[in-house]
Amino acid sequence: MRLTLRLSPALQKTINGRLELSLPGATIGQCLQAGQQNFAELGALLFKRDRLNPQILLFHNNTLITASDFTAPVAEQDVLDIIPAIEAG
Amino acid sequence: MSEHTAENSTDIRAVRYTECSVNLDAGAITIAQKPCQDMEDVLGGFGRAARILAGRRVTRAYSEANPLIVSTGLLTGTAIMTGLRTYFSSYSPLKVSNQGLPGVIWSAGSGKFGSKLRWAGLDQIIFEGRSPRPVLLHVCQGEGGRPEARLLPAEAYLGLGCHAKIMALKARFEDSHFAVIGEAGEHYAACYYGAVALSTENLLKSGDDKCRWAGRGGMGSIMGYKNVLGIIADARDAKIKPAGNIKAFNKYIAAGPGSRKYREPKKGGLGGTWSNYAPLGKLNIVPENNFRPPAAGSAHKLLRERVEQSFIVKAENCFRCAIACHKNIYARGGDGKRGRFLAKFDYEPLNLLSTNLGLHDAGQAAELVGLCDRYGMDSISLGGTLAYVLDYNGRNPAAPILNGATFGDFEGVRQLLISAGRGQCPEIGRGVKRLSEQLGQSAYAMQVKGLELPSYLPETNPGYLWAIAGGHMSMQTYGLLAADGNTSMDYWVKAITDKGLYMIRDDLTGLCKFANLDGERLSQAIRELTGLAISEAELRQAVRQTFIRGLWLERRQGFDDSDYVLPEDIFKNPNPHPKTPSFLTPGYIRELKRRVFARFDPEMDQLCA
Repeated sequence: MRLTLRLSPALQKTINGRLELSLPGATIGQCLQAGQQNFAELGALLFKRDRLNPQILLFHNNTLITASDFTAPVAEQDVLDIIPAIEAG
Repeated sequence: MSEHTAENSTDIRAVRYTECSVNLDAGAITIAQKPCQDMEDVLGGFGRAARILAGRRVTRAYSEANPLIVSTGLLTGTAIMTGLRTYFSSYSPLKVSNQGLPGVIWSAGSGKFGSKLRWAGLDQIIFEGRSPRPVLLHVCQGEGGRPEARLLPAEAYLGLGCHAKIMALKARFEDSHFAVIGEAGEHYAACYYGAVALSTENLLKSGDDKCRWAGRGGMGSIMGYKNVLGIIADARDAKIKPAGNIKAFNKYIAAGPGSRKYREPKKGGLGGTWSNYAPLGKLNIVPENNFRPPAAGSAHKLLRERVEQSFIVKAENCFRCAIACHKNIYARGGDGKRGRFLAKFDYEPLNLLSTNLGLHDAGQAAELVGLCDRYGMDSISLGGTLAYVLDYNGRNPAAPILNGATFGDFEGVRQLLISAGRGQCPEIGRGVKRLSEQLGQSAYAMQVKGLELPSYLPETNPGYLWAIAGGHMSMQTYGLLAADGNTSMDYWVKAITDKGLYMIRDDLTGLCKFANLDGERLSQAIRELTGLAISEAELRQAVRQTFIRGLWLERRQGFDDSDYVLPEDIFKNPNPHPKTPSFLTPGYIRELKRRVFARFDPEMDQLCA
């Protein structure tokens, strides 16, 4: 399986200007681990002091998830969005 | 853009825009096509307006020498989702240097007015001088589809609130959209932060007060000074069916990561900017009691899920926008169904007219937000000045000002708001910088360069100093400390000079910032919609130049080291309760200014010398 990881354009500079990554793995956690192996910046974005960074939010398809959901299986065409928790208006 | 001669052209001078110049003193109107001089001209919005304003020498905002520029962006009125923006640019009555000279500013709003203006055939209107009597500008499609414009007497509309003006105009002008001012703008001498209200389809259909706003910097007050009560954009809707990649881009805007913040939870969103209350509340950095949250902050009291226990929240939208960022609050009827419309809650108006005033009741907040809209004021400037008054009265109980209201006094706040909106309270209407300087207590006046701060604590954002048009719309550093916790000097220099300033990109393009479209897609969209080949790099350069020109205009208007300062209280009387790192000291700011201006100064010299 592969998971499409999409970054909000507000986070575009985080991973060398990339907005989308295609990550292999059977679960969300495995996909993110694969991503961190290739892009160390992804790990720095996801985790602060070994915990999920509270100032970003993750959506698996259209559902807001937490670290406890990283064991959830990934299906074809699944999308994981990362967005900043704080944006103005 | 009205016309360009070469397909996929980057020949800037081949691109023309259509400008309507209105000499208000003489009542004379000229409509002409003009060749673009540079990429900022092509993109439009504040990019073009900044060049025009740089060519004028203005020493008083309320003077006939000061133009008001109403412009659209390159993508306003096109098939790309959120391409709806209208920009109002001028020398501001509110933003002011310590030398007393007005600063340049712009303010932008969506709704459908900008699209209608483009469809009528205009890219820009410049109001020059001042009308001797109240007028409306009526723009319409004339013979052969060419734009026409005329001034109409407007005495009959004097004294009406923004919404009432729009509804009265709707009864007279079919198939039109409107940009109007309210009573605050009419009383420009007593209110320096009158806003411009832009009509929405929802407003015209429902009859509810659901304007969009160009709020910051007093552009509505400038309209009031010029005796222009409103602009009517009278044109048939253009057929703008999305084709090619535009359909995919619209899907990306509507369902991609960039707009999640603003979408509804049932559409995979967070429910609007209002949702900032949760992450900022966890760090205890939601402004409360004039930007000084106590140990146990009360932000949780206005979380959306709590408000929804008593009210109904309905997400509504601008023209053809699927983000639906308008979080409209309705009374809950006895049957549990949606009742009367009350107000729209965004993070800034909600926070600054409730929590930051020591008010934690959603019904009271809705009333204050609704009143602010009715009179046509900028909620950020109004809320920031009200908070100062309440704070002052608490600190000076033996000699309070105005009605003596303090934090939590809803009725007192309501009275002050109405007085300011009616032009009866210049102490509040002229903003917190002037009031605090008159009172000799500026240390806790939450403003930079005369503009009241948005809803992020100043001790978390040194980038406020370089915001050229309001702290959360022209320098994207307001959330960085909460997000990254990084306090290093290198980090902040880079955040301001290499990242934050690009936030103003869509103050040129015509898109809404909530679309959050990335540069690559934007470049492709421009090519498909206009035939113009503008690379991402060219876009970034035009945006940077516009920012640099805006900063240079500050310098020319006398803004100096004494203007680039944060409220003194954060150094002298720091609040121990925020859970973010405490890192700002006078020495830190001094060094940051040295390093940031070391980057910007040569660019200003090169661009504007």
